[in-house]
Amino acid sequence: MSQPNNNVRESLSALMDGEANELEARRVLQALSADTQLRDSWHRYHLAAQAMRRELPVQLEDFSSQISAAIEAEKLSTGALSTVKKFLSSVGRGAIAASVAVVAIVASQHLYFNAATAELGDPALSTASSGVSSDYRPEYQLPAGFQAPTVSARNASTGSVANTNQPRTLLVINQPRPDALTEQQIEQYLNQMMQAHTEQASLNSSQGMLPFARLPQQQDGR
Amino acid sequence: MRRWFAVAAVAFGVVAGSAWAAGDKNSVEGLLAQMSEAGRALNYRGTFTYEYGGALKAVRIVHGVKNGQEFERLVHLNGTPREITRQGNTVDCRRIGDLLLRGVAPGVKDKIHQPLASHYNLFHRGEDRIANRQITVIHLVPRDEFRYGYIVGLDAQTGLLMQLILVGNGDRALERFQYTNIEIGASISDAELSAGQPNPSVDELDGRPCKTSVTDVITQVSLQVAWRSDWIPPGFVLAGTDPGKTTQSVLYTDGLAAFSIFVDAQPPAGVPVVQAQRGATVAHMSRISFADQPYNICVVGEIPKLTAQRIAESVQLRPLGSSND
Repeated sequence: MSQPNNNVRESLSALMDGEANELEARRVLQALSADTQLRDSWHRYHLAAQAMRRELPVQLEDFSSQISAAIEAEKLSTGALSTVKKFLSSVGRGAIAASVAVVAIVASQHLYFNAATAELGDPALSTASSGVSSDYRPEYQLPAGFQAPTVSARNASTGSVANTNQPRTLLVINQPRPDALTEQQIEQYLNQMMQAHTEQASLNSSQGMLPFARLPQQQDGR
Repeated sequence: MRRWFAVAAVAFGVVAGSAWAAGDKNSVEGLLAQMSEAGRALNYRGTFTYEYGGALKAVRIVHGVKNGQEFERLVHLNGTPREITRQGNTVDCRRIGDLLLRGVAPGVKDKIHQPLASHYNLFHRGEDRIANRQITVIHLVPRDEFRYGYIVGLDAQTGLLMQLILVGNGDRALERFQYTNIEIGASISDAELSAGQPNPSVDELDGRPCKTSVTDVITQVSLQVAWRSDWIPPGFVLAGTDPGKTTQSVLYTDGLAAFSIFVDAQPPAGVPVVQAQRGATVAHMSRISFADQPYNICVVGEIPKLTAQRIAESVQLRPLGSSND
């Protein structure tokens, strides 16, 4: 792994944490389009992050059972095999174990990134992250500040959310953008749905008119 | 030896904790039931703030009851001028959400109703003061990953909702409503409840017929297709439907959280798979085609995005007239 590649990886991780500046973000995106390895890293980082947030679907998260199933299957087939094959199969097991270890390392690295940023206190986030209680005990009152949602901060295509004072609807577009619709048009379409949802929700939930405060206003984030 | 001691200590903690929660539960549920009642039946005027992602909005609210009918007016105090007025709901109209909070949901079709406490751990968190009034604080911690947690502050005297915080993963506040000042029990004049004059954006909402149970099947005729979601998170029940000409929607709630599923039979061309988030509201939009027709599926609600995604991916289209359960 060459040195420049490491830099890109750091930027990639910063981008995921919503802390990459515009230049960095651009550089990473450019590198991503050229570098398949980097794309794999991007995928792995997200997988690790999702695993930590327990957001993976069951069948993905439960890899231990898949591994044991794989080992089980191998045992059946290695019943009467040569030592070479036995050796190979144990190497295979080792590889599986190693890949688990890699996931674990990626995960712990990622944890480190989060911890580091929390400690260093990104200026834009410092007001937001202070004093968030980490358990459900006596402190019922969450702090005055609010963190930008991780989900969107990581995937937002329109720059770092943490750096803007006026958060807008965060769009994550999961496929190549069609020419037909601009981001703004998509947002408008979504706003219609959000409005309809709000009206129904305020009629049918017990929070009265409060949901109407959620309605996006035209100038929000513009 | 030490390990066993630790296990025993934890076990004791769990038992003691659940016993405490069980003892406390009834009163917490009582308070929540009172909350849904107070929001409808009381006269009040005040200003509350709505915070999300570092943004802060202030909203003025006036709520009055006249001749057994609710009148409400909401004015956004910053940003684009905007008002919302609503009238015509009768005070004793209890919707599905209210009923769920009260632990009953008669007439909810094909669903065995499970009370709120089977989806949230309910905790009483003591007293606080908001808008110069004493409040009681309740913490609802979700028992599964399909919904968010809530911190609810209720006026100690009347039970009115004074503070609502949505708590996401890792105890992060996603958004917060909180009164800065409020007058409860004041007499409300008609002028206060009617929309201000030269106002560019006023939404007037009529009271829809009060329905406490949902028995009507969605009319699918206009979409030329039958549809349903094969997966709905546990505890959510159908609370409303909106059969439109090109877009139909259904609303589900568990009493606190709510989400809508939209099926758009005439989506604008080129809508990609999109996830969006604003405060605690997420939207997951995807497209499926059925009989060579594109349909847009959109799930919007105050739920975790993975829940929204799973619901959206579970939407099935079927030929019209086929069994729709």
